[in-house]
Amino acid sequence: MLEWTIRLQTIDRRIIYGLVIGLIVLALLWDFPLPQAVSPEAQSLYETIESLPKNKLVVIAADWGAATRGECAPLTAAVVTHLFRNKRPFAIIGFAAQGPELTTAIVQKQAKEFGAKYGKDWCNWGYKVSIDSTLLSLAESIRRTIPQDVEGTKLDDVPLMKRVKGIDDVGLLVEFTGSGTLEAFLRRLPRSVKIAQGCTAVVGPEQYPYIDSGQLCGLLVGMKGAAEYEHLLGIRAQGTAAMRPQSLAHLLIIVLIILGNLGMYAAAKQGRDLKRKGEAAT
Amino acid sequence: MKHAELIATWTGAVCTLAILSVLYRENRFYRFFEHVFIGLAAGYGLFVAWRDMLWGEWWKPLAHEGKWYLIIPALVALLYYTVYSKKHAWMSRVLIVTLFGLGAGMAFQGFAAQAGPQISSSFKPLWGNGLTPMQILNNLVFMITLVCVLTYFFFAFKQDRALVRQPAKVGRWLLMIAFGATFGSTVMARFSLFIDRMQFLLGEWLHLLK
Repeated sequence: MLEWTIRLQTIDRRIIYGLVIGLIVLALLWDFPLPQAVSPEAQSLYETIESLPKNKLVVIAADWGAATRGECAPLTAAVVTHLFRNKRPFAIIGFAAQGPELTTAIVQKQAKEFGAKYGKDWCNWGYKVSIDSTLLSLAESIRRTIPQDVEGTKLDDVPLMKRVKGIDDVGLLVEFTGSGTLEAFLRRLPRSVKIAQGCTAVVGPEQYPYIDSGQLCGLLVGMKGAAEYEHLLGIRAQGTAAMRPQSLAHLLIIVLIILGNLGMYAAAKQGRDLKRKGEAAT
Repeated sequence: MKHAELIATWTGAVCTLAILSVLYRENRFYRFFEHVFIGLAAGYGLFVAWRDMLWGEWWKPLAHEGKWYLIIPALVALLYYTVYSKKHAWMSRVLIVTLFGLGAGMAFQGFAAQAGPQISSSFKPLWGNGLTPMQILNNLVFMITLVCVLTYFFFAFKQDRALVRQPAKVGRWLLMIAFGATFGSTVMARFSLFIDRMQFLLGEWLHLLK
C-alpha cells in the first residue's frame, strides 16, 4: 500500500495529459449547467458602457496576438457585442501587430448580425508601434497621430470620426492584452478617459491594484471574465461554454496536487521507518 | 462551406495537432510547424508595420506628396546599422543614447500619473465613514499586508529584532500566498488556451459541438 502511495509522486506526465484532454472533451460535449457569479469588476465595466454618453467614442486597444487568442478573443467578442447592441461607435487600435486584424475578424462577424457598417459604427486605426510615444501624441491630437484609417481613408472622411475632435471626445478605452501594457495607458492618457481592461489570467492578478486605486473602471480576467460578461449580456458564447471544462480541469489539478502530497508524505514516512530500523539494527 | 474556409479549417486543425503532439514527445512534425509559426509571425509583423505605419505616415507623403524632408528620419534610423562596422559604430551609439534619454525622460514624466493614485489609495480608513465590518476587515488585511511586505523588503538593517523579524516573516508568507494566486491564475490561462483549441477542433473542424 505504502509503495503504491509513493508512486503517486511520479505519475507519468502523459497519463496526466490524457486525463486532462479526456475531461476537457467530455465537458465540451456534455452541456451541463454551472452557476455563474459576476465579479464587481465585470459589473463595473458593464455599467460604464451602459452609462456612457451617446456622443462619446470608445477605443478598443487590441494588444494581443494569436498566442493569447484563446482568452482575448472571447473577451473582445463579449465587449463588442455590448457596444454594437447599445449602438456605441468604436475605433480599433493595436500595439501588437496581429491585434487589430484579429479584432477586425471578430467585429466583422458581429457587424453582419447587428447590421453595423464600417465607418459609421466602427473603424480601424490599425497597428501602431511605440505605445508610449503614440499615446502621448494621441492625447495631444488624434488626427496628427492617426492621419488615416487602415484602409487609407483620411480620418476626416470617416463618418464616425467627424464628431470626434480630440481625446476629450473619447469616453472609454478598453484594452485587451496578454502582457503588461496597461501602465502606458495610465501614464499617457488624461483622467477624463475612463480605462478598462480585458486581460489574460496570467497578468490578471497584477491589475487588481489599479481597480482599488480607481485607475481602472472595469476588469475582465481570462476566460472567466468573458463568461461573466456573457452572463451580464444574457448570451451563451465561447466564454460560458469554456467554463465547464475549465472547472473540471481545475478540480483534476486539485486532486492531483492532493495525490502528489500523499505520495510525498508516504515517501517521508518510509524514509523515517527505514532510518528507525537501521538505528535499531545497529 | 466554401473551399477557402474548408482549407483554412483543415490547415488550422493540422497545425493545432502538430503543436499539441509535443505533449507526447518532441518530434519533427512539431518542430516544423513551430518554425512555420515563427516565420509567419515575423513576416506578418513586417507587413503590418509597412501597411499601417510606414506606408501611410512615411512613404506616401515622401513619394507622393513631395515631403522630401521625411528622408531625414529614415537616414538617421539607418545609422543603427553602423553597429556592424567597428570604425563607424560610434554613430549608432549616438542614436541609442538619444533614445535612452528620451525613454528615461518619458518614464520619469509618466511615473507620477501611474504610481501617484496607487500611493494615495494605500491610505485606507479603518473606522468611521459608514464602513461595513467587511470593509473594515478588508482594509485591515490590506494595511497589515502592506506594512509586513514593505518590512520584508527593508534590507538596510538586520532583521534580527522581533519587532522587525516577525512582520518580515509574515510579509514573506503573504508574498508566497500572492505568488500562489498568480500561479493558480497562470494555470487557468494555460487551460483556457488549450480549451480554445479543443473548441476549434471539436466545433469548427469535427462539427461535434452545438
